[in-house]
Amino acid sequence: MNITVNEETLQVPSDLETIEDFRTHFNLVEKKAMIEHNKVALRPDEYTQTALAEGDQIVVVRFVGGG
Amino acid sequence: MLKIGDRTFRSRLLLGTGTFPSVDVQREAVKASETEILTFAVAKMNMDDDDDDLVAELNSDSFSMLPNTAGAKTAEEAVRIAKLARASGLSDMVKVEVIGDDQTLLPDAVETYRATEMLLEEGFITLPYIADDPVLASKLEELGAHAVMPGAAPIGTGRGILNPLHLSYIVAQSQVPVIVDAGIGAPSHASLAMEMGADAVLLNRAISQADDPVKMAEAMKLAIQAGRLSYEAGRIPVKRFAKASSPQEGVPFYG
Repeated sequence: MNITVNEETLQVPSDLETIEDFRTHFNLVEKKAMIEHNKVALRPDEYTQTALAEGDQIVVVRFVGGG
Repeated sequence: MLKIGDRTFRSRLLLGTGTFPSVDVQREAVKASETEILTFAVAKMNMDDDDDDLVAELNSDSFSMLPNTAGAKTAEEAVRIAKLARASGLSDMVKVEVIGDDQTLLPDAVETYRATEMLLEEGFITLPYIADDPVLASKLEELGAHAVMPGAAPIGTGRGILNPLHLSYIVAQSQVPVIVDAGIGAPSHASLAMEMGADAVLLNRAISQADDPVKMAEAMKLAIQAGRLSYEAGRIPVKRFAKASSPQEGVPFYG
């Protein structure tokens, strides 16, 4: 399955069914990462209910230093 | 107490988290500043690297987080960034920052206004960063902004309050907190803002880029406290000619 992650097209295993699976695959579970799925920012309680599909656009961000 | 939306804070210093020489120094500076509000930016994660988690490093559970929308050039981009920040579950406050010029980093008034309107509709506690424009400040307050944050001078210039007259207009007219944001270089600048009646000061490089950030954090804390006390105490009016403090009659003459 091909998805776009931070504007880069990546091939991921087709058994990644939800955003929660995506987080596990990319070792994001322990990190304070925020995720946007097809331009919609997801709350943590939405990770397990949001299905991942071919062509999805994912943005993964985190907090960094800033003024 | 500083009141922003339904939150109250003892400290009137808001501190940025960028450009510190190290996390250890930063942690000490945050402690010395006694700030209760830290600003953060939102940036794309590098999926390959094991980046440090600044929020965890600073133990941000002890602070209110004020994420900014830095990097946004339009209202829509600002809203997108703000929603990602809120999705962390850590904060529903947002510093609305939409830059309109790459050289001066001055904010885009039109996009900032539009972003503030959209973010208020989304239920954010909204603190727009603006130039020292009293008319814009007034219109944002009418819109429902929870604070207005006029810049003292362009970001990172350390030049202090370039237009004290405009700042005094904003302070006089505002019912929401006025937080002087950007352009502060020295404690005297921060103190002046507070003496003039600003409710708080937001700064970053003035501390993070000082030779000794921890000592400067304490200096800024004291300057902001001193300025606030002065404002509450009510300073004497400026006079054209001298007024003696010592009695002019009954002066003893010696020799």
